[in-house]
Amino acid sequence: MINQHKPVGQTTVFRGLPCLALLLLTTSLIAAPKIDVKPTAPPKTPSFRLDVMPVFFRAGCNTGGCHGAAIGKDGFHLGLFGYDPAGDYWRITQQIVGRRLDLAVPEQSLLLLKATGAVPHSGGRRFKKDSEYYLTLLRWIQAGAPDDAETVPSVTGISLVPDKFVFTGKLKSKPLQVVAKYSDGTSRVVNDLALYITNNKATADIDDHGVITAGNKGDTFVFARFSKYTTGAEMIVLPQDKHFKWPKIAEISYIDQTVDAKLKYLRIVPSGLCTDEEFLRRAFLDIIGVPPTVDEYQKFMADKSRDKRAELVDALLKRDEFADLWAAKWSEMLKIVSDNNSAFGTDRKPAYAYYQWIREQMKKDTPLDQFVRSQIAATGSNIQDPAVNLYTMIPQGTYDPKAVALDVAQVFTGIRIQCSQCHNHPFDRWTQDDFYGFVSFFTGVKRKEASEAREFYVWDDPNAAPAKHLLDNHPCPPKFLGGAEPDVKGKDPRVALADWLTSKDNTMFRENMANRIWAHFIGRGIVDPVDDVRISNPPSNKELLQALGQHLADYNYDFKKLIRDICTSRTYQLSSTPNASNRDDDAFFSHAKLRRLRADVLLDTISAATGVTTAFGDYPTGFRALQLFEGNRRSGNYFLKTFGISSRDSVSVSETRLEPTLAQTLHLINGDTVEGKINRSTVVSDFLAQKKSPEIILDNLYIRTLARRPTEAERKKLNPIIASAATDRKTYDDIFWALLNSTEFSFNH
Amino acid sequence: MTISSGRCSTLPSFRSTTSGRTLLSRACKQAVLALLALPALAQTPPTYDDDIKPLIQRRCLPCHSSSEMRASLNLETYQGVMKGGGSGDVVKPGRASASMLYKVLAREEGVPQMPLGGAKLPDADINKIREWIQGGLLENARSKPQGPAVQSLDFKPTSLNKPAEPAMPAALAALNLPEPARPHPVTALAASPWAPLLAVAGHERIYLYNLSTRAMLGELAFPEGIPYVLRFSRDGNTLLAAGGRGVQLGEVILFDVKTGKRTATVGHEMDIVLAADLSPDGKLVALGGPGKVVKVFSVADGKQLYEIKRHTDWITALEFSPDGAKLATGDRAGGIYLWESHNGGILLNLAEHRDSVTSLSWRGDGVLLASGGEDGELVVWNVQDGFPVATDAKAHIPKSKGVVYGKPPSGVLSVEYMNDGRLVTIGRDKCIHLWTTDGKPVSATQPADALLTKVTASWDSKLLIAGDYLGNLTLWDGKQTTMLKSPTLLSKAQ
Repeated sequence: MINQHKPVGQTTVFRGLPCLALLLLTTSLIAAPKIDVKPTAPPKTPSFRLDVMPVFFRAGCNTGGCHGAAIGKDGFHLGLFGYDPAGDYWRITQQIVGRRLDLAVPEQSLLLLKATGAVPHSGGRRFKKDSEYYLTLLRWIQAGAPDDAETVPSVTGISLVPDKFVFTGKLKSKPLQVVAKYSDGTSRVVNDLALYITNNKATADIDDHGVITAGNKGDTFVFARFSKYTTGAEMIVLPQDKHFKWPKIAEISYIDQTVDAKLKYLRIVPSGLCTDEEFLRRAFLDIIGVPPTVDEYQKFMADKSRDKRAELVDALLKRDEFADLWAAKWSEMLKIVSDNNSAFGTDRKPAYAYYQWIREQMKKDTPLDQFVRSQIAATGSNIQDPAVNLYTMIPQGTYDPKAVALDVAQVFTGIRIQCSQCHNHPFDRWTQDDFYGFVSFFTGVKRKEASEAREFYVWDDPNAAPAKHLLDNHPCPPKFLGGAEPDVKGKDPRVALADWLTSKDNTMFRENMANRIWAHFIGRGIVDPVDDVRISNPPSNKELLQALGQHLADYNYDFKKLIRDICTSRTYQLSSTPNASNRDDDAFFSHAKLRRLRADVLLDTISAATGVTTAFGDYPTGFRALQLFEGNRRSGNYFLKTFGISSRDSVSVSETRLEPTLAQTLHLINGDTVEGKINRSTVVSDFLAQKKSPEIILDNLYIRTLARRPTEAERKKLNPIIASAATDRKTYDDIFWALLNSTEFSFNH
Repeated sequence: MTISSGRCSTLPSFRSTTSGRTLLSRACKQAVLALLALPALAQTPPTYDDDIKPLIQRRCLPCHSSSEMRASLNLETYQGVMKGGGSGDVVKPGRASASMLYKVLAREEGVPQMPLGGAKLPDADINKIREWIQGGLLENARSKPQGPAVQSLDFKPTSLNKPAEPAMPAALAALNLPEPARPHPVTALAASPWAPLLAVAGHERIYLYNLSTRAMLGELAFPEGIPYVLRFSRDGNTLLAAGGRGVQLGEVILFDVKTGKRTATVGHEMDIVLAADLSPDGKLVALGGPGKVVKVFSVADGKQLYEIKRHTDWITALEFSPDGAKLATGDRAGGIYLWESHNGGILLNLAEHRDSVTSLSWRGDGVLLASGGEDGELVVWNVQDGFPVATDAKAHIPKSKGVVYGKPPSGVLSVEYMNDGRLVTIGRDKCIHLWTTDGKPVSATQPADALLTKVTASWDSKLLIAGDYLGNLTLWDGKQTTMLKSPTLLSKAQ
């Protein structure tokens, strides 16, 4: 019976409807409208919340494209994915009395006729007349369509059994069980009421009853949704590779151990180590955002020390450009813009102050927890105390606690709670209560004008009313995401929030920070994208993520230490050349990922290679693109825009676009950036003036662009060309141009 | 009393006033109403000679006199004002808000701001002009007011449509309908205007009930499905039943009350009929439903005469005026319109409700129209100018213990003007409310157990009857309530 909640231990299946009742009810359908069947032991009446609403959920009635839309569909509205049970009950039974339910002759209820497609229905037939779903609704209407008592249990969670399964041999199919737990302590198998999704159909498909069909080799997750919960199970399909042999490799650190453990499990062989030249360029571009100079190249290549890679990492971490790079990254995530809108506190002065403050923190190694805490709990002037600008960098002006709550959640935990503003999150655990509880940390933030026109004073009014729930306006006091309600009466709730968020025990924070750092150096997050953390987007290597988060916390959030761990790991030093076994891997870090350089880094790299700086609006000469405090907002550089520099319109990392476009290629070929800089460059002309040999000039051009010497094959091709006009600048300019236009140049590899 | 067909020529200006009026704030409307209601004004109505001419002399006549005639307007004489200017009439009797003279002086949006380039006239003067227009444009103390001046809203009982002999059903043939599994909600309810006869909707049937003897008189079969509308004709001889099956069928059936025989079937809709009425002369049937279109049929041949496509949502209520000249229709988006019932020409847009209109009822003398809505508002309209005489946004707010967050459903579900001019309503608070003829609360019942769905009043206005979600009837005589169990059970007992 649908409404019988039995312990999981008993092998009850939802479909176990007593056959007798089924037979009797089916018979009665034929004899409609007269119903004189009297079951000897009348089954329990289906409950609206426990039995009827799950049918709407399963049949798709309350999805966003159908009756779950904000204005409903064809005049009938249901709460999206069932977030409003009381409203749904009211709309079905009483909004238009007689229209949707026929209490006298239940079979004639429009609800049933529409759902079974017996009358025209935009949504077609959702289920058959002989289905469990139909019977559940019918029996509920037959009972007079009663509302539930206030004590009706609620779903407290769901689980998938098993939550991990490995397909190795011939077995290609595996049924999963979805078990819902209720607040009264009971459980129930809800396979036929849940909805299913898979992250990779080719590897593991899942059908309407929760049965997995294994496909291509791989590792993916399948998910079940029921009530307001989503839960996943890992499905691994191993290749039938009998020759698989794990190579002997030295694991440098915990990072390599966790990465290799996964690779070994999945029978993927990692690539070999990258060359010193590759490592040099990679480390420079990743750690400080500028390429190595010819001198730096030669020094590193000449270094015979065994630890020279680690030493290079240490040296780079001490450089000022490191702070530039991370200040730029944080400025993007924190949307630093100056719209010259002093009325809303986004004037240039506070925006610049905020940027300078961030850069200062990066430079002096302020631990991440302190860095975040001082912004969230910030009070004071937007010019004197720049950390308060977390609350002022709002281009549209008006302060909205909801918008700030969304940004704080996304930037510092990677969680997007937007969905739960209007309905419970369909693919995660966040409910509207969570959302409005989180918003309440920011409802007291006020701004008042200070002494000068551009200055604002940000403070918290501890007596401000908490946010109100969308559904019924009930106040939702401050509540940590997935956590407790702190006692903040008469206090600034943001202090409690900052303490909770940046606590060493908060895996949400520490793992998200670690993952953002990882993604910067590896080119892919363990959870990817890094700011879309949700149950249905699980980490590709959970152990690795946990280890990184744990270490970051153990280092007291000194993130340079974590960067050192990453950059000195074997995993970071892998070659980008794949082998037969890891060619398809994009998630388990078996080889280095080819990454196009960020727009600002690419432009700076072109500038560095040619020795010609770029002018950015009213910034002083010599400023690099990575140092623009508000990105490309006011300088409006075409190159930066074309190569996808963050618009800073939102906190999302996807604002920084790395995908190649035709416009980018055309600009490099025909645009004035490469051409102009080569023309103005004195690199070649200086060499020619010094009468340097063509070989030296060629080497130099290669090193300053690709951080390597030309290969023998390249020399063979280029030598005849050079020989024809060895003292003509144009010859070298053409080679320079070709190098700057090469994929090898614009990618980190 | 009503807008005669001769006024049709003024239709465009009617429309413009309607849209213009929506610019006025609610507070402004209330102020206007308050002005209208001031009894003192009626005692010394302003006249052109005594009040208006001195008032406009200095500020208006420099431009609008016989010598200047700017905009071809001469305000120097009463006749000049009546004649109007180059753009037409400047005053409309009884309708200040539609009068250009008032609008330009009050400096409403979209009109010239008079006096041009000068300061606004004092508010007292502008009000005086308004009173003068509302009072019927009196020339002097001996004049008679013109046009639809402010009239009394008191109810004058009428014997319009009174039959020689009130119809009661004779012995009706027994129906052998299968008993439904459980009582059907009272989706429709009607009381004869001249006899102690009550019609109650059941599943595929209509129960007839004697209100004097409190006995079942019998059943009428309605195999078309569920009746959503029951209405007696104004003479009480015919019972209209309309409804059908969701997304399958919608029809209107007319029954002869005495014999119970069907006299006409009108409409053949693809979905249920949610609103229907029979014109007082018995010649027209109007119907509407989820199709968003109001259709008007001739009863004699069943042919459709015209349709109204102005509504943007389901038609949820409609009713002919007692004299049959007008048709009021309401929709699920809150829109109400008044039409000329013989051809569907638009008369007024009554814009107030912000959610579904649930019910419309004309007062017996046709002066007022009451509307109820899911937005919780009860509105009493003066159909003459389209202004609300009264609005009550808290007509049916459920009483609750302790703090309640959010807005519980407080819709007004059914409204009806009784024969004695009083108003009765039910709503989502499960109470029957009694109101004065102009919408002031009188008394109310305690909340019922189940949701009340429809309300009506007996022919002698002594008994109020409400049907509920469980198929039961609640009778209220103003003091005591009596429960009648579902007619299904009653008929079984017989």
